[in-house]
Amino acid sequence: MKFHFPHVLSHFWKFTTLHAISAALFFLCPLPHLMAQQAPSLSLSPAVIMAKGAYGQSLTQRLTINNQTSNAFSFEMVAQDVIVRDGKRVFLPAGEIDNSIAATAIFSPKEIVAAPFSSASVDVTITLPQDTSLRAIAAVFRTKSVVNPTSGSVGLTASMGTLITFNLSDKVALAADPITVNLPTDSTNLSVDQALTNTGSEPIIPKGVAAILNGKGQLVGKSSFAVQRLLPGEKLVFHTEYPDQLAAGSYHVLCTFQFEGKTESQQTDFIVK
Amino acid sequence: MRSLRPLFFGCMVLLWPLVAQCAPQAGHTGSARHLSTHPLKMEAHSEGNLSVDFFPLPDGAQILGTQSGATLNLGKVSYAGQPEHTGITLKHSSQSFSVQTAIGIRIGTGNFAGETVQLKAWLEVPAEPYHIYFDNVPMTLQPQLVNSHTQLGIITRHELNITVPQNTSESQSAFRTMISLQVIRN
Repeated sequence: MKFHFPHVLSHFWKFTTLHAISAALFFLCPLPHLMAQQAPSLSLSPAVIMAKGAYGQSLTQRLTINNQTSNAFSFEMVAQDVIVRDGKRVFLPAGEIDNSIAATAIFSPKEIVAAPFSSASVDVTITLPQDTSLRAIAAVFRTKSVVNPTSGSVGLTASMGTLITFNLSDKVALAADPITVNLPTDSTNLSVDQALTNTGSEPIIPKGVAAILNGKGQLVGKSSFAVQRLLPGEKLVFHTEYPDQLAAGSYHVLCTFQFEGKTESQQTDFIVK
Repeated sequence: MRSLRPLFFGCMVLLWPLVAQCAPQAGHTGSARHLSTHPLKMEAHSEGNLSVDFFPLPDGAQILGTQSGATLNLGKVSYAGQPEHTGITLKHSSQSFSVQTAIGIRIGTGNFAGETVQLKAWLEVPAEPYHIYFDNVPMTLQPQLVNSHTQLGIITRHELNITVPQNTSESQSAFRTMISLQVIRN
């Protein structure tokens, strides 16, 4: 015996079936993405803390290790001062330098165990010295040996640290080197490099754009520089690529960086043949 | 006798805006002494997270474990013989031979738009008489900077080189070592 839907019911059936399929697709499509997120992982949060205040003030923050693996991990908390020597960052053990900020860091607890499929948190309290030129520390979850290598093998363990920066005054300044324009080739895009030095006393995160103008002064295109943090005294090359083709001719590139309400600009001319 | 209550409430309604305006100012004046000193706590905001995963590479050694702790299996190697496992390369010189392999490391998952980390590495225990190099950086018991701008969110290739002096005795030949890595966002 065959069962026939009446005409209206048949339409209703098609309508609801289509909706059911759409709903199923909607919920099933993100599955690979969700599964990727749920893959075993060990992560530290946050990666960066940016603090503002004054000398003598204190900061308390919670750092969390999320262990979504089937193994337990043990960590010892370690604080390091981050200084800049010859334009590059150097990490020093707490107390090795005068007016160390890391030396004031108190971890509670000092050691933790992150059980499988759980998270564990540590509170860190930092009290800034009354006078210090330092502006950053690293609070490191130092992994205790989780592997026991056998003969003929190399054990690898990874420790993760949270960078904590401090802005204590409005003395922010930036020095820019001349712009370097790398002309496009058959296999590379046009790229612009701009070296910046933090000549102030505070950490800054310059956000920059390179604007390309043609010979008539008309805007041809623009491209954002990759964002990087500059600690006082640090020098980094900021890089951006312009992916579109430029016709042969004369051009002008204007690089503008903004930081803490200030602006730094550099410009130069170049010719595409 | 007429009640004064309506008059009182009427005055209250009329005067209320004046009282409401003065009250915060009085409070402000009272707390001005408190504001003249710095608050004890700093303001802060935080961002992002970090993770470290190890990956075997097609031309690298076998890896056991992947998250924050892993073991590279080099197997048995000797000056004269061939490596026991694939992904191991031997290079000979007159005084020594070296064992080379590669490993993939991914720091952070997600889209980080060119953001980087500092990658440091060191030995957990002395490795004498072997000389160990991670990305051509000689490993010691002190943390060594391997790469100051390691890209986040992508698998980066890293090379491990273990140099074995030719005069290594039989008792010293049972090689095992531990390398610690440290990552901190720039």
